[in-house]
Amino acid sequence: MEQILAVAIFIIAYFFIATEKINKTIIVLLGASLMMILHLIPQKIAFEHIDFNVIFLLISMMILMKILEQTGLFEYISIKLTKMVKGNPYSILSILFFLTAIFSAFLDNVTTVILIAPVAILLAKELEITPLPYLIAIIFASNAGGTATLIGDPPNIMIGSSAELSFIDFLINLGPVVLAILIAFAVIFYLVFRGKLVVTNKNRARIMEFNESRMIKNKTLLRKSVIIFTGVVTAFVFHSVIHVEVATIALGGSALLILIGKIDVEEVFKEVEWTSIFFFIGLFIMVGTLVETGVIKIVSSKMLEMTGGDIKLTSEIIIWFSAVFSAIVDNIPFVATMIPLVQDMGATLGAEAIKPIWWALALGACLGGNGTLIGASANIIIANFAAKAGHKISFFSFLKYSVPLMLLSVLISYVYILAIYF
Amino acid sequence: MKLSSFIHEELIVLNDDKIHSAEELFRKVSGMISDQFKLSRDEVFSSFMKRYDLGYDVFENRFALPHCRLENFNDLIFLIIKTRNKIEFSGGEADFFFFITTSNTGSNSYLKALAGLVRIIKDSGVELAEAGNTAEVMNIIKNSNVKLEEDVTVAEIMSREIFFAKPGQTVSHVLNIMKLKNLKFMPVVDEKNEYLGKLDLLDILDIAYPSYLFLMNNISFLNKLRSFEDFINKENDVLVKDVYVPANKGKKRIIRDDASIVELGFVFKKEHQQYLTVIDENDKVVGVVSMRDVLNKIIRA
Repeated sequence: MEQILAVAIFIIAYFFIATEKINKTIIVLLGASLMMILHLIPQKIAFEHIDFNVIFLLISMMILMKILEQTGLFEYISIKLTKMVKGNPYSILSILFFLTAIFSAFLDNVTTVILIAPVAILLAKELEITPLPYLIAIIFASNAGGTATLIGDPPNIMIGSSAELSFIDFLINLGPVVLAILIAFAVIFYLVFRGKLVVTNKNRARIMEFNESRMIKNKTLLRKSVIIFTGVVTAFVFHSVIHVEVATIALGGSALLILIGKIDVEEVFKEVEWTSIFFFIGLFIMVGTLVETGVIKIVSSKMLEMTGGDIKLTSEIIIWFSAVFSAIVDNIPFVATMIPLVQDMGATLGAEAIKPIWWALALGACLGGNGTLIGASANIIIANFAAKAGHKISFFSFLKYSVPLMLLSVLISYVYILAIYF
Repeated sequence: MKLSSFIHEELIVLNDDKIHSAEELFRKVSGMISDQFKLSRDEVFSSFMKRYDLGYDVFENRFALPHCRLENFNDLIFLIIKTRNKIEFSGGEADFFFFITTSNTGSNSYLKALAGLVRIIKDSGVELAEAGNTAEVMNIIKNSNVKLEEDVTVAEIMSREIFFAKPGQTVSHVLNIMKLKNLKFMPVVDEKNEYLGKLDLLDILDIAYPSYLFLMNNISFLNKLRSFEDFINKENDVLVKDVYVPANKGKKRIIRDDASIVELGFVFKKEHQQYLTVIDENDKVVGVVSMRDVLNKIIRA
């Protein structure tokens, strides 16, 4: 009975998340409360299921990003590089593409596109070309780039925390395949948009007139932010060696930057995306209830039965299934649900043996976000920017880029997993 | 206290035919006040003239409410003069003057007096203008039953000359009116003159600065901006409906004409506005009120 109730609440909540009629944070908080009220899970146990490694990593990274973002560094780099290529529209396309990929490997995707997209629109407007190629490139780069690191995308943060995979594990295992995907995307974009971006010399001259050195208003804060941020990323790389969790590193780094950067604590805390944080909290409790009531155990043993404990087959299924699923609905609740399932299989098959399954899940869930215009928050934000700039990206017109590119990237990942791990 | 308690027949002069200018008017008043209350004639006169330089509103094309504030003075004096013919006064013409003399610090009693007089003009203006002798004037004021405690309302300080913008008009058209009438703000109304929202110069500036720019930390690296340069070309194509700020539940940017000055200041602050559209009890737009009205007519009245 408890199991049926838990599954029913979970499915109803999932339905509302997918339809996006009600704010998803409210849905999961209501669902989590209902599960506790109905005594499907005691509050104490429910709260233990909240992964504070994920929560504090997210909060700390948001704070670090907000401070770094204020310095104008990201816009400075974009403009500087754009001038270095003398305003050539194709070179700008690749700069925006790779810059987005690199930024999004270290920042969350939404922050990345909010930083890069306005610059891209501005450049296109000044060059008198459509900003759509730039914006589309930014979408794919942000989702792919975020896949490469532990902190690049929330599914990776969750997987890393639960599977105890380090920053280096992610970089070594996912970095090469993400790089291959990015290069493939870049080549395709070049071929698709070739000949479509014609600019006058006069307009290129306008770009050359940009005076990016004026962008950095607070050099002291910039210096301090870069030092702390570099320190934090370096510590991430060695966290498994120094035996300090990533959340601890990020938390310490953000607190230190607030102190030495003389940042207004109240203001910077207001910048934390609390709705996202509470979405994770609600979700962790709901998934925790499925674990505690034994639902996850039943499903995982069914999955093991179906695949006969074949890790290769399981990885294959997971990568394709999670890609398609994540293209349609939010990948965060999906990954949150999959994690205990995979962990449960790991209990039977061995933690080391199931590592390919984790990589398959990370690649499928992150890259799946490219599948449709609603596949990831970053896509929706770009679509809004484009519409406001007078260039509508429709759901269906996006599909003609997104479906082939998403399938290609998952195919590359699929081949990579089979080649490397089996 | 009744306003009529402050007004005495000996301080009412009707159909004076020797006054032909504002200056003559203030000389006459200063003389009367200084004789009655043992005040310095020059000080009273210069105070009236100083305030006159800031300008007055003329109500119903004949009534004006000049006033002066005096140092080291703790009283409230009313004086009424009706000239035989209309004289030029503060850019208009008037023949019926209520003079108020207050202390330098007594802005509260001034406001109350002002509110009371405005009510008398509103309710009994026609009778006052036709009154044949000072006793009749006294009676009208007594019968009006206006008390000094009346608070100033938005209706009394708002500007009644309203220039509306309509959603279908071009921004270029609106800018022309703003330039011609020295406006920064216009209420936007539909065909039935029902309030839709507001449009001010900053809203129009949105054409030059598209929203994506505001996601950047700063745009100090730009000396040129295409949308800014295109502004002039666009003003003929962009319509009011594309740039005006519609009223919504949180910020309607309107105030009722019977609202107090206290409420007006609160709404200005709360909604971060410098201008509000004034509506009456039937939701009809009846005026526009600005922070400047509060400054000119209340704080530095």
